[in-house]
Amino acid sequence: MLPAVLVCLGVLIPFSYLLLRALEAEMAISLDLIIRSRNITLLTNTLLLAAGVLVATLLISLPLAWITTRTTMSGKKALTLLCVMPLAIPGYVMAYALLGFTGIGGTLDQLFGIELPRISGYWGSLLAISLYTFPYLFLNMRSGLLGLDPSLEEVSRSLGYKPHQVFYRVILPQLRPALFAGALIIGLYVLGDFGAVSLMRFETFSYAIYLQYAASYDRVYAAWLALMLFGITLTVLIIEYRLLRGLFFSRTGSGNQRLARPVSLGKWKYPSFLYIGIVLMASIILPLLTIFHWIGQIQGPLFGSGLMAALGSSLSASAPAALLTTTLAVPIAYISVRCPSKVTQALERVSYLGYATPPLALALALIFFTLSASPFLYQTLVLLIIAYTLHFLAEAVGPVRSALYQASPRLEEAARSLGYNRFLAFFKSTFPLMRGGLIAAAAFVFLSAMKELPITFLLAPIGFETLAVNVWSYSAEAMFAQAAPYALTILVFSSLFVGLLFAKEWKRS
Amino acid sequence: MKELLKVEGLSKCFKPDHCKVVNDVGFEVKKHEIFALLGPSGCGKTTTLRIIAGFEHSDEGKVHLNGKTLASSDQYTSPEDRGIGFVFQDYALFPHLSVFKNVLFGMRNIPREKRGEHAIELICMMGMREYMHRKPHELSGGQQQRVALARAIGPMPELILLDEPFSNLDAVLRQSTRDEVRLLLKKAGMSALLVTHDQEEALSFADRIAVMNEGRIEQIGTPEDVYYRPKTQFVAKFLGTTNLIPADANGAEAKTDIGQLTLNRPAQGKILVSIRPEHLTLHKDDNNAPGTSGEILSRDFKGHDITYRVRVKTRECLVHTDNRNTFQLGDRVKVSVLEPAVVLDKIEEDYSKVELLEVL
Repeated sequence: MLPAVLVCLGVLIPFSYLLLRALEAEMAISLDLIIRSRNITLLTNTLLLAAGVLVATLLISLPLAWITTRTTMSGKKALTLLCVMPLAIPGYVMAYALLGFTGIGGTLDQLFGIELPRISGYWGSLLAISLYTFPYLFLNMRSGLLGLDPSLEEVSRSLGYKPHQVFYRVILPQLRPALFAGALIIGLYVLGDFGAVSLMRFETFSYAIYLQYAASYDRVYAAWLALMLFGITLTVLIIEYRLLRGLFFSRTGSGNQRLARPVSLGKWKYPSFLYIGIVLMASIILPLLTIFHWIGQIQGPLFGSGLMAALGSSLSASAPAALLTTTLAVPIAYISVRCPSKVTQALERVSYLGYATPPLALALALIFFTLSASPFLYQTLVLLIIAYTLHFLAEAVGPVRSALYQASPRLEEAARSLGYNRFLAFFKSTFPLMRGGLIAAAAFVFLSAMKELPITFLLAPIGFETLAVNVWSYSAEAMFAQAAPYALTILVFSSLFVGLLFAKEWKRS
Repeated sequence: MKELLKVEGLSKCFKPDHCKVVNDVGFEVKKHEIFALLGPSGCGKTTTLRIIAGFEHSDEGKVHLNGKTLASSDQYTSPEDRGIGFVFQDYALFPHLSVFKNVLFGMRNIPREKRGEHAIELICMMGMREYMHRKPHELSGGQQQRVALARAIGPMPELILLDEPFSNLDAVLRQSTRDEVRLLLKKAGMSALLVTHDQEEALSFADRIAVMNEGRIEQIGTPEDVYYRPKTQFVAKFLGTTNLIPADANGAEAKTDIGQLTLNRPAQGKILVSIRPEHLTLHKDDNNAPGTSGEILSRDFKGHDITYRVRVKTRECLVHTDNRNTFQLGDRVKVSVLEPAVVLDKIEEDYSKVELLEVL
C-alpha cells in the first residue's frame, strides 16, 4: 500500500503545481484563455490523432501477435524481436526519416524517381507515431494470447463454432485486458508526444504547450492547456476503468497451463510474409537507412569522445529508472488486482496521471517543488531517475497487471496455508509466473527512458548529456551527420537490451 | 477423543445487504477424526472452509484450534500461522516447480537436512516416485491430486482442509483415491475436514458429517445417524432416496396412508415422517400377509436389488427389495414397514401438499 501512496503523491505534485500556475491569472484572463476557438482545433486534432493511431497500431499489431504465438511459421522468435525493435527508434528520427523519404528531392525521388507527396501534418504524424508505438500493443497482445486457456477455444469448437467465430467470440473478448493496457499506453503517448508532431507540423495540445513554454513563455496559458490535457487524460482513464470493470480472467478450469497447438498458415503464408515485410520495412529499415545515409556524410572520426560520455549518461539514468519503476509497479498492480476496491483502483488510475502529464510540465513542476522543498536534489541524477519513474510508471503497470490477472489467487493461498507470510507467498508462488510481464515492463521503461527528451533537458545535472539530447540538438540545427552516431548508438543499445531480456525468457520456455 | 477444531457461531455475508452465506455455523472436529461438511453447491460450505483456513474473515463467530483462538471479533491469525493444511479443488500446484519441489515447498518447519528425505518418502507413499521431477502440467488429474495432498501433508499439520478434492477425478479413480487418502490420513494421525456435495463420498469417507443448507447446519452426526435418522426434510432428501409421508402421530405410533407405523421418537399431531425405500418390503397380496395393499406401477432392476414404485391408496412410494421374489407391473402387493419411521423436525410447507413420493 505504501509505495502506491508515495507514487500517487509524487504524481499529484505536478498537478497541484499546474493548478497553482493556472490560478495565478485573473478570472477574466483565464476565461479568455479557456474559451478560444484555437482550443477546439487543438482538441479535435489531438483526439483524431489518438483515435487514428489506436486503429493503425491495432491493425498492425494484432496479426503480428497472432502469427508469432499461434502459427507454425518459422523464425517466430526473430520476428518477435524485430517487432519490438521499433521501440528503440526515437520518434523524431522516425519523423525525419518519413519526411526525408517522401516528397520532391526525397530519398524515394532520388533513388527511384518516385515522387510521392511529402507526408506531413495529420497523416504524417499518424504514420510516424504508429510505426514506433505499435510494439506496446504487440507485446501486450502477445502475452495475452500466450496466457489464454486453450481449453476455452476447444470447448467453443466442440459447441459448433468455426475457428473465425471462436476468434471473435472467445479470443478477442479475453484479450480485452491486454488490449486496453496497450491501447491506454499508446493513447497517453499520443497525448504527450511532441517530437514527432512538431516535426510534422501538426498542432496538438502538447505541441502547443511546448511552444508556450519554450517560445512565448506564456506559462499561464501553457498551464491551462496542460490542465485541459489532464482533463482528456482523466476521461480516457475513466473510460478504461469502466471497460475493465468486472473482468476477471484468471483460469477457472482445473489443471495446469497448456499451450495452444499452433496452426499452419496455409495459403496465407505468402500474404503474411508480404505484410510482415511491409511493416518491418517501414518501421525499422526506413529509419535505419536514414541514419546510415547521414553517417555516410560524416567527415572525420565516426565515434568522438562525446559519444562514450553520452552513452554512459544514458545508461546510468535509464537502467536504474527501469528497475525502480518495475519495482514500484508490482505493489500498485497487485493491490488493484487482488484487493479491488474503489480506493485501490483510484490509486492505480492516479499512477497513469504521471504518464499523461506533459513531460515539460512534469519537469518544471519537479524543479519548482525541489527548489522549495529539497534544494539538494536539484540537478542531480537522483531527481532525473525519480522523474523518469513517475512519468513512465504507467508503462510498467500495464504488463505487470496483465500478468497478475492470469495467475490464480489460489496459488498464493496454497503457499500461505503452507506457512509462508503474505510477502513470501507472493514471491514464491506468483512472482515466478509474472516473469514475462516484469520483463516487458522493465524493457518498456528502459527504452522510453533512453529516448526521453524534454524531462532530460530540464532535470539533468549540468554537463549530463544523454544520447537523446545529442541527437535532438544536432538534428534541430540540421547537423544530421553529427546526430547519426548518437541515434545509431541508441538503437544498438536498446536492441541489445531488448534481445537480452527476451533471450532469458526463451531459454526458460 | 479430544476436540481439535472448534467453530462457534460463524456468520458471513459478502455484501452488506445480501443474505448470509454462512449463518451461525458451529461444530467440532475431534483429534484423528475425518469430518465432512456436506451440502448442495452454494450452501456456504466452501466459505466456511476458507474462513477456518483464514482466507476469508467472518463477520461473527470464533474458530479455535487446540484451545487457541484463531479468529474472533477482536482476533485474527493469518493463514500461514494457523498450521492448517489446505487441498484446493483445482489443486493449485505451482506450475513453475517440479513435483518434488512442490512437496518440499511447505516443509519449512522441518530441519533442512531432513526435508529432502521426508519429501521423497511422501512422494513414494503416494506412488509418485517416477514422476518426482515432472512439472505439474505433465501429470494426470489423479496424479496432481496426490501431489496436492502430499504438499499439504508435508509440514505435518494436525488438521487438513479438503475442498471437494475428489470432484475432478473419474469414478474409478475417485473410489480408490478416496480409500488411499483415508488410510493415509489415519496412518499419519491427522484430522481432516472435507467439503463435498457428494453424499456417497461423505458417507463413506467421513467419521462424522454436518449437513449444510442455505448457510446453516441442519444436522451433525455419524453417517448412520444422518442417513437413518435424519432430523429434517432437507437432510432426509439430500442423503438419498426417501419416502416422505404425512402422518398423524399419537406417542410412539402414527397413522398414515401405508398403515399404522412405529415412530423412532414420540410425537403428537400432524407430522412428516421419512422412510427409506430399503426399510419397506413387499409381499404377495393375500389375506394373511401383513401390510397395506397396493399396486406395482414400475420396476427398476439393478442386479443385486430391485426398486419398485407402488401405488398405495392415492399415494406412491418407493420400495427396495432383494431379487428373490419378483413382481410384474400391475401386480397387487402388500407393503409393510421393517423399521420405525423417522420423525422429521420441521415441516417447511403445508405438509398435506407434500407428495408421498420424493425422488432425488
